[in-house]
Amino acid sequence: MIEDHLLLTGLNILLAWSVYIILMTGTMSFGNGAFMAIGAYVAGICTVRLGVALEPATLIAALACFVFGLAAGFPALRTRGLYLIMVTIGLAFCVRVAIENTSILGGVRGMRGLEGTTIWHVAAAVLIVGGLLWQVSRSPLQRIFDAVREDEDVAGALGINVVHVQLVAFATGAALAGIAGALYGHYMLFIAPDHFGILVSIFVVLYVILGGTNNMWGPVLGATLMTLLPEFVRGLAEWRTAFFSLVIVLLLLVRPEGLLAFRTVSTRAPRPRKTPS
Amino acid sequence: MNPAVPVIQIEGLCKDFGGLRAIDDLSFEVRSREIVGVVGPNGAGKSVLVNLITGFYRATVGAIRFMGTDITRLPRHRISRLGVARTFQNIRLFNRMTVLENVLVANKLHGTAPFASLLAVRRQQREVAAAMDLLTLMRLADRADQMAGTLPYGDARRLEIARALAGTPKLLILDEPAAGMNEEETAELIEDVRSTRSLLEAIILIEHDMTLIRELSDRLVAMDYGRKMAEGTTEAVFANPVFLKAYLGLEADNA
Repeated sequence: MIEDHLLLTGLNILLAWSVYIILMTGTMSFGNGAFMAIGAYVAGICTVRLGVALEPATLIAALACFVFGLAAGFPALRTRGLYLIMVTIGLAFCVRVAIENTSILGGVRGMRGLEGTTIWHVAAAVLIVGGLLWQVSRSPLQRIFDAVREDEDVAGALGINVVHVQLVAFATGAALAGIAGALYGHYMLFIAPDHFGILVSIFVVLYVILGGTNNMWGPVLGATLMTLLPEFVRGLAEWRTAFFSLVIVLLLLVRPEGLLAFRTVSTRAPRPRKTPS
Repeated sequence: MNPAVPVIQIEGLCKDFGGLRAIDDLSFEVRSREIVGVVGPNGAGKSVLVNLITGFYRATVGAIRFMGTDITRLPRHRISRLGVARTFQNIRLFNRMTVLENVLVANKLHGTAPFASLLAVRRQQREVAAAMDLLTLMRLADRADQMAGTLPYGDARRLEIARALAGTPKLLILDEPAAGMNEEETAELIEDVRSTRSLLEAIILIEHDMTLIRELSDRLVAMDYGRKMAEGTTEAVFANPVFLKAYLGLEADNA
């Protein structure tokens, strides 16, 4: 039971990071549920139909989602703000309808026979992805992301290829969602298109907004709270969702910048300083 | 570097916004080692010109060449990489980053290969030293760790110049750097711009402040309604009756 909670928490942290890395460059995605679905189905075909082991299947799923993220992001990232939200939501619906109408994937009845995800797979994925994000946070890349997010016009005038940076971040987010999807599918033993609906995408964005978008720990806290909190209030029965929504609204009122809002300064001035010559 | 090739060569440049022609058949050159002032009343098209050179706007007709390369249709990051840097009329710093980070992010080493910089965590000392040198030049070294958004106005202006210089440009375009400054601050700015001269091949200075223009410009291009009204050495343009009438108007006798 505890292991199940930990495993789901880990998957939600991965999903939260998949949105975080996209938000870091000033774009957004309300369609990461779709990338999760693609990851689950690609990995599912690899293991069930082709007999590939789960670990390489997950990597193949990540790669497929990266490529799909590039292809979808290239036109989608020409839009901004509300329009980008609409486009990514539209993307999520497209993927769902496409899967529902593809008989080789089982259509609306879903796909069976996926198995093998253990807590250790999830832990390893969280550690690897967390390590990658940690490396980003202390490299010059973090400053480039921050600059692109703050003012992409100025970032462009400084020689940064804004489209390239945003597109790679978007595709990396898609790949992370794909990894989460692959591991989720092989934990659930069965996947169907409605497991990856629009609500999943919106919830994942909420994890990050609640936790904070300025550092990699915000999404961890947001995902952990949102996964475990409902379990602590089981006594509320049907009122659970209402209570939960109320908590979200209150949190956003009190801390609109998220629970962990700090931004880590990448480099400080050397001390003692050089005296001006 | 071949001094015979102009740093910037503008030929027959036009820019239309709907039915409005903001730049009308403009041609001029900026040569090596020059500071060229672009003056003109509000709405003359000066800022449009900056945005055309730096790739923020696309020219309707005409060509812009930088060191002999046609940059008229290049995206702005490519123009920047060739060596064109700018500041903004309404200061645009990365407010939630520190002063030092603002300068570091403009370093072309990483800006041109952002994802390779993931592996450069331990090799940042030289960039930090170079950035600190620029901050020292702009008298901002003791504010290096402060958030850029908390800087007073004059410091913010100088940080924009430091950030522009951090990309080691050949041409720097200053878009109304003295806007909103008092006389004392303007005098300091004149010294600061002079101190950057050795780092640059040429400077284009868009400005209203006549003191700054007179002190710094080698040559002037005077604009009105998107057209070139006068061009020549600073002294010659200031003696040009058309320029005096159109731009300075009643101020003619004290300018």
